[in-house]
Amino acid sequence: MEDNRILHHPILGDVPERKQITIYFEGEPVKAYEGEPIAAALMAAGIKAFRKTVNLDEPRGIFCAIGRCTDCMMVVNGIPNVRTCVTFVEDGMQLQRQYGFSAAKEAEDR
Amino acid sequence: MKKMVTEIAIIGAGPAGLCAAIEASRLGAHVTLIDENAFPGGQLFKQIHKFFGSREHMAGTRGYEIGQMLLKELESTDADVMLGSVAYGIFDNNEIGIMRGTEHIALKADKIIIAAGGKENYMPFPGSTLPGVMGAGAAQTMINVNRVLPGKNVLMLGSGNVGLIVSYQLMQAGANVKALVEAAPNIGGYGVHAGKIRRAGVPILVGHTITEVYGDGHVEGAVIAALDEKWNPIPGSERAVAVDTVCLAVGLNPMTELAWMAGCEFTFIPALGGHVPMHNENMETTKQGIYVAGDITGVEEASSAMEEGKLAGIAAAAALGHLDAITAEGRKQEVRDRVNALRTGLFGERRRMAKETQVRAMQEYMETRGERIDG
Amino acid sequence: MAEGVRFTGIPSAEELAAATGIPSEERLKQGRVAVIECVQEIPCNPCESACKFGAITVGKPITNLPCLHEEKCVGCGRCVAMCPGQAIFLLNYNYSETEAEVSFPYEYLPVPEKGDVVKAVGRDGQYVCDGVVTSVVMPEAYKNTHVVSIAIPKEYINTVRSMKHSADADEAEAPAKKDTASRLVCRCMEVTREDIEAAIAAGATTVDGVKRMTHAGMGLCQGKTCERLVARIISEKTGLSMAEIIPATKRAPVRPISMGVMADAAEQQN
Repeated sequence: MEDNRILHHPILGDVPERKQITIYFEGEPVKAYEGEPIAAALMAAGIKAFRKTVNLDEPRGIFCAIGRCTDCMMVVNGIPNVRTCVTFVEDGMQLQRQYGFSAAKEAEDR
Repeated sequence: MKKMVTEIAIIGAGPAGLCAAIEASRLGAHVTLIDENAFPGGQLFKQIHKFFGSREHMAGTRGYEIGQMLLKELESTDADVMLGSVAYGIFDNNEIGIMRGTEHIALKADKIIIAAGGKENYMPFPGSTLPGVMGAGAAQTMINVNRVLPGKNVLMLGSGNVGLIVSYQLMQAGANVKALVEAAPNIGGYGVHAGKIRRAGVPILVGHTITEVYGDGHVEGAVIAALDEKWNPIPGSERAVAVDTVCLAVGLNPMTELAWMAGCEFTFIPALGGHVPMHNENMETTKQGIYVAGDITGVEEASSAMEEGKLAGIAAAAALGHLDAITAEGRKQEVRDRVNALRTGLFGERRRMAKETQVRAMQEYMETRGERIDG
Repeated sequence: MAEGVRFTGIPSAEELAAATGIPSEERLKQGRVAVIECVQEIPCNPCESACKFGAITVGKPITNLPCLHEEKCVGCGRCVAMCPGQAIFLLNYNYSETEAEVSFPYEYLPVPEKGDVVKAVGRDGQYVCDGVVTSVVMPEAYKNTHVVSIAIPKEYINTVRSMKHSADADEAEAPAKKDTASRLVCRCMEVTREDIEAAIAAGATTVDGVKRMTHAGMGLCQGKTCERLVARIISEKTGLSMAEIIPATKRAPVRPISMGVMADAAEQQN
């Protein structure tokens, strides 16, 4: 799996020790660390498209990263419209791409 | 719904809100500091460069270290800090509606300081919604706070200090910055920030823009073009660059929703980011008891936000009788002098004039109205 | 192309000549000295207190250009690390018979080591010559800004100002362009500029009016991203000034919160 983590940094030093946990993106396990937002864990794993839009069916990903723009919304543990850039990971969390404004499943039924 | 009361409610725990809280609680006011995030500090913790200014502005200290110092100072006060708490509205009688998780709180405050900050501007072009196009501040949060690299090859749009600094920090984090593109004929930010990225080999293309970003599901390339004097792309000047990330650093604007809702009067000042709440020399708005501080009053930078926060904190505490008028005026003037020192020179003069216009607009408004409209 | 720091990010020869922080030719020949390539009046003065020898003064206002008192400069390099703009360098013309030494601030990984052969670059980042690292200094007070010194041929003393921090970026060709994607002003509700222009043509002259007709700004971000752009398009099309176009009416909640909560709140108020 891709790993885009910055382990060493000239100013901030090495990444502090954190507890590793597992979250699931579309059923696939993704490595995450306690205390980080969902979006960071997904970006670290090289996942870029977090949802598809309702009309044009276009992919969207991280845009503002501080909870303003709502582009990074996903279905988190079955709940849609969760801003993943300001929601922290939890072990075993289930994430699904969001289609439109609702959960993935309904979109598939369309 | 849970009812709470406080003397001074401060919305936003960024540089302005933290400084306001520290000053006001030190003067003996009961302060409640509210922030929607899980951690206080606002955008200070993603600032890893050494700050400008003078010693009094903590110049030479990196932004996140200033953040750590402020949090330590805050801990030494009696201020109540409500994190993960969204102030979703300001209602009659200075009541703030707050959601903390599923808990609903109505906080009544004698004075309110809105320090909601700013947000990044967006610029639409074909492909500007593709994953991989993001705000420069978003990339900065990812690399410096979350320690994750958004991409390997980056194109930056905008040469203000944000674009220049974030380009530098992306390289520090291990990315290549392919180029920085600026539509204006000159670089917007400090020459010294531009110099850092030039020495690292990044071309700065003034008079250029991004006409399109493309890719299959995410950014794979961007088209840049030279602009003529009417800001139109010059046909034939287009060229494609291979990048996986495009960062937009096209300015910020004040997060004014709460101030609008509270009924504050606004004035339009382009140099400060658009519509900004009028305020007087104490940072108090046209609504008595409602103060503003930091980027919400007009976009500047963290150093002036901290000073405005202190000013609002002192003013609000003094208005509640925690400080006598003469001492208060002296303290406030010290802060005003410090913040004005930041608003001088080649880049600061325009902001100083803009801030003067803002205060003057308030004076004129009050004179026309003859009295305050109380909320 | 226009010269000068405002256009290129690199101070021109004229700008450097006019700066107050550049040592004289005479002082340069005497050995290690600071060169302050700070040519814009910005509010900043840490260099002044960084120098323990009083060789740099800024005074008031703090936007003054730093002034180098070359006779007092001992070439310690503290200012090099302390300058937030990284605009100060050390030059040692007398490093050896044939070489000069240039010291510069360095904040990248990997940090070079003494003896390394590195690619010395100019103010534009272009390769000038090879250099040999003579020292790397980073006391705690420098807060992770290393001061790296490299030996280079004397002739490049006024050219070299840094070193390459990474291998040359891969110059991969951009992939062929595919279909042109849409250009959305309102990202949430997927509203294009054309949609907004049509609404204005149909009579909308306010942000609220455009919002009602196109739904731009009705998404979950509540117009935070597109509102200004909508206002600008209205201004362009109607000739109204931006000052006259006030943002859409603000209603609670100013952040997306769950509807159940609002229902609860409404009940409480009734």
